[in-house]
Amino acid sequence: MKRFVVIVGSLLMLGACASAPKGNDAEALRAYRADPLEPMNRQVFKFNMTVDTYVLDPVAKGYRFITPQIVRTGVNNFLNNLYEPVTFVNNLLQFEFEKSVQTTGRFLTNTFLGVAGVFDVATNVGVPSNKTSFSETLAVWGFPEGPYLVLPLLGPSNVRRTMGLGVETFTDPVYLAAENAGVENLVWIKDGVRIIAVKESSLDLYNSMKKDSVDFYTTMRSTFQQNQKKLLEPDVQEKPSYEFEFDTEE
Amino acid sequence: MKKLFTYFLAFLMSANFCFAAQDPAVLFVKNLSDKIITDVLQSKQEKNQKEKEFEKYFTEALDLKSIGRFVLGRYWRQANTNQRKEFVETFVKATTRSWSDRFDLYSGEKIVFYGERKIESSPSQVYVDSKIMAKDSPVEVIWRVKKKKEGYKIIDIVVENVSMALNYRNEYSAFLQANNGDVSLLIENLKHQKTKEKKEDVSKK
Repeated sequence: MKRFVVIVGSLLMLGACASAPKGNDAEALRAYRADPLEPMNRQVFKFNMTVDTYVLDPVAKGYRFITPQIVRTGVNNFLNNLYEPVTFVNNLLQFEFEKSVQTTGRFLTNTFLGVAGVFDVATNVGVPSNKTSFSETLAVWGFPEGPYLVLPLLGPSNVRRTMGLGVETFTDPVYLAAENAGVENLVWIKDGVRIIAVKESSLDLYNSMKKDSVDFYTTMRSTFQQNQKKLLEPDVQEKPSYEFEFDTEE
Repeated sequence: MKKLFTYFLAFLMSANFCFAAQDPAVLFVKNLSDKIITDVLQSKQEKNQKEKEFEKYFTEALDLKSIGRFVLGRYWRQANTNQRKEFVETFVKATTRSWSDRFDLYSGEKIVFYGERKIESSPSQVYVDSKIMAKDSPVEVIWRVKKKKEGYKIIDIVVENVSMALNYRNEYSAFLQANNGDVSLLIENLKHQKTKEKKEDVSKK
């Protein structure tokens, strides 16, 4: 809970809204609708880029340099396995009962046969991951995504996803177990390792996108927002978000 | 009974596969991706040579004028003929350079095609559905293809629901909004991407 308060608190401190564009500039209006909190988001983004340049990027490169691929795969598998109970609960909340059974099978298989989750035995025997989150559950329930938000350190998000992260933070079994045992700091370490592991696995693509963009903030926002539309059930959307008029667009 | 059902299912799937493989737009995209995999991604040529090869396929297979018009939005109409021509040329170079940096990320992944889908609002266009069978989890890729007099042309590639054309449009439009619609400045920036480090600030006024 404390972690969530820190994130949201720092966001509120930076609070600033863009004013809606005046006149008939359709392009500006479209941009405003896509990102009404842009001034605040750009500030957080700038902060994140600084942290990325001076901390995350070098640490992730260092992590890649000192560990062989097999170790990094093991770390990713271990972290993914710790997340399976969260996926299980959300499979149920999304009424995906078959998937919840699969998730239980994966968790038990990987925990006991995969040495505490270091080896992904389940995927190798044909039981794929059904990874999902509480923010996806909210999407399935029809909860609107809300304005785009850039979270400190965590990057692109929206109100729905931030709420999902908040709920997951204080219902995460690892957090609850650590709190009971009086070793809450263990969760910070787990989160820190996860951030570095995720950063390392997206290092090449991320740096390539960053280098090639004339406005990286917008590239990240556009990519995130489009990808989020995938979460909506087909009957909720009239047509896929990637379907737009190509020839007649202004 | 169960066995019979399995045979029936296998028959249906193979029939569906044959149908999918014969869709002309699917064949067009499949041939293109096969060529890029063999002649570029798996080729042992120097990076420069690979880049040239890729640019050739890229220019042939994409409807660059339509894409240029779409990604520049209203600024396309404001641009003069020279700027439009220069923008399309620079866009091709910049995109080729960007893809060439990712050539090394390819590690033999196969692409599976699932057939084509009509687009109700655009009768001359179809979506070709495919998946790149990546090791961790498959990546969904949809190719938006337009039938023209000279044959099929790609106008958009959608990766995991993210339209590349829409991404470019949003990015360029944000840049142009912040820079008084100066298309020449955008072209200059695209030409010199490699030397820019703090791009997140470029569009700021």
